[in-house]
Amino acid sequence: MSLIIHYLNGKSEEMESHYAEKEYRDDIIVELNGLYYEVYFFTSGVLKYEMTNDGFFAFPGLIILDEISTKSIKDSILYLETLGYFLKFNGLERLDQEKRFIHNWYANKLSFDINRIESEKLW
Amino acid sequence: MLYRPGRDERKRIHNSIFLLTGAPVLPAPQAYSGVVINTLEESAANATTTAESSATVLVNGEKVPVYRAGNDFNLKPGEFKLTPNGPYPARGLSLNTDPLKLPAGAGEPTQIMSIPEELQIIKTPRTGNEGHCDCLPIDLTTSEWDFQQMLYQINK
Repeated sequence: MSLIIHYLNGKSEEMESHYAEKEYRDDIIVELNGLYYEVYFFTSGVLKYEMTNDGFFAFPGLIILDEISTKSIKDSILYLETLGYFLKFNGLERLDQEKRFIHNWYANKLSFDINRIESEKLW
Repeated sequence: MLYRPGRDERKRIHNSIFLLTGAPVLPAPQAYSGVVINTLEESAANATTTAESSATVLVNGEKVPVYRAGNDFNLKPGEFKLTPNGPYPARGLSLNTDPLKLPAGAGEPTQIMSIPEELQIIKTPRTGNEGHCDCLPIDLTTSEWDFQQMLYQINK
């Protein structure tokens, strides 16, 4: 039994500051009991811009936070796991980052160097 | 009646929803009330290209100074984002018209003095951070490598 957060862009202070300014974080993968889930974190304030053209915005595993920080991300994942949130999605035994939904939404490739990935085991 | 679409139908639905080849539901300039958002044409017209004046974005008709947190103009991985159905909501390098809203951890604010004519600055306000902007290439077919070279030419 394990719950792990994978930060594809790393979790340095520089990245923490970067994503706090962006008010979204889209490089997170959750691994729960060996299955991978893509999740995306946005503040409600930044979503207005996302809906500029289309009038809607939808990512699988979209989680709205009041601020983007490693602490708020961890807290939300821990709490949502207790609610059975991830069981409502299809966890994958293998998740190619280039197959994440974000690549369907945006026109350019948004992959991360494997050497940047940092992971954190929550339990 | 509920039914499961066939493969071709699902592909058509997929393309309809996610490629969004039709007209946009919300034209970008009307997306936010109370704040004038630059259109691409306005951005190009208002982007300063000389060293005599500060780079500005149009906010309710007023040109204002623009700042970057720290002095690092390198794009972070995944920072440059383009959508398949038009210029908005593309994402680029974060800037701000309010230096007090810049993240403290990135260093002292750097004022942008001018930008290359190939770049534009568009308002991308957040709740409580109305001055947030994104710097993007005017030509959104620009590669990330070329965009980065343009960012290196920003005069600060």
